[in-house]
Amino acid sequence: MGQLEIGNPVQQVKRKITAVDLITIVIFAVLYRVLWYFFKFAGVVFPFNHTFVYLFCAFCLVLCWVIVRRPYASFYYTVAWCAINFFIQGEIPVYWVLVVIAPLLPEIYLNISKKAFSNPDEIYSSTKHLIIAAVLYNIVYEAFVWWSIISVMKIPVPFNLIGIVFAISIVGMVIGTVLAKKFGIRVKALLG
Amino acid sequence: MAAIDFVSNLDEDTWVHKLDPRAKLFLILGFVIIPLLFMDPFYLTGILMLGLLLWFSAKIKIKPILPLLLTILILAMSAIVFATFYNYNQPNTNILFSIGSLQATDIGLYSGLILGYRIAIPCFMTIIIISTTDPALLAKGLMKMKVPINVAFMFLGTLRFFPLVFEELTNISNAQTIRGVNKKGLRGSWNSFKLAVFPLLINSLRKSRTMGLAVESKGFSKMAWKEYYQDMKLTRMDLFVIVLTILFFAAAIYFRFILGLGGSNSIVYS
Repeated sequence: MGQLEIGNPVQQVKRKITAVDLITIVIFAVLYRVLWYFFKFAGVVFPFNHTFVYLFCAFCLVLCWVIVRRPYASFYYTVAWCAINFFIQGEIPVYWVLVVIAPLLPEIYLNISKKAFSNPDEIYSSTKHLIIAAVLYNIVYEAFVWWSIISVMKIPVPFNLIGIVFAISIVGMVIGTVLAKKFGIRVKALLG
Repeated sequence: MAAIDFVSNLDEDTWVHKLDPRAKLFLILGFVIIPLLFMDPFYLTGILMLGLLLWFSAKIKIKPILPLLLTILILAMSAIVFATFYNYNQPNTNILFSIGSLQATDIGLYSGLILGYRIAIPCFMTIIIISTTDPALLAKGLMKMKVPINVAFMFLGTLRFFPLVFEELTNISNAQTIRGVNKKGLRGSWNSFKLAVFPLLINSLRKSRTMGLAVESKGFSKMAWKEYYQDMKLTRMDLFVIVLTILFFAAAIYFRFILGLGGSNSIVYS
């Protein structure tokens, strides 16, 4: 068993992101953007439809972390949903430039926090750390969205209304994370 | 909810189909950025007309992508309707008509049109690239542009999987309709979403495992995907399109910022 020490080629391959991981992340990104149609057609009025965006985003992001359990999973997740946004749902390029930065803070946070665990992968089972990481991601994402709504799309939304929506969104992010963690562990057990 | 089929448009042999994916990306980026510079529906209509010219010359069949086009149209129309009834608090507002306490104003309609165009033009233009380019070729084009292989692979996977997942969702939605699931209103939508999400996820993940393993068996992790036989050189036509896009962009900046056209007529932000 001496060959299975950390740093040997087998362990290095295990740590590397594989095509299966990438495609799994793609599925969650696609799921997030498909879910977007649900609330779009559910008749929730702007700007309150935005509260659902972050709930779904946190839900799919945490599913990614719980099932894939790789560093930079949130970065690949962002690239995938931004690709859908740009090519299929026609978003403006500002999304590309800015939202891709959203995974930076949560990934740094997860990287630092995982040192406290004897098995670093255990961080992806910790509800507290997942909530903090998902909220960090979605707050940056939501801030960019509101900036683009006001500055690029030129929709005049009152500041106090943005504040209310932002607050409800944070609750949505936490709910999405808690649901996704529970659901992700169940799916992971099913997939094996 | 009907499924979207991008593949059926790949068979055509128009000049747009023959363009290198890099040139196409450049052209589409031009059409995505330029509408953001203008605040006048007249100029935005001009940009849309140019885009439609490109659209029709690509001979894109509308039927397979009709659900997507309808979605874009609904989104743009809802933006117009929302803005028309929004109170912009401008002193020189003229009321067009009223529905109860809601008042449709000319300023609202004007800004709604701008918003609608800004949503619709990029959406319609990006459809050209996914309808005329094989996702694998697009991924290769991105790799030629020095995009990391993992990121290019994400693009490929996303463009391949989005229609598949959408199709799966359509099947689940149809099954729910047959079984009499109430989807009306927010409560009904939430209920149907709850019932759909688990089978959607499990079926999609099963497909992803199969595809991922197939890709892995072809040496993805060893980065063997970096080499391919297909030669990707920019032809004269590609270069012509790139130059034309640069000229188009320069003309837009000249009109907007040097001549001051296309922005000063805006009622809302003047």
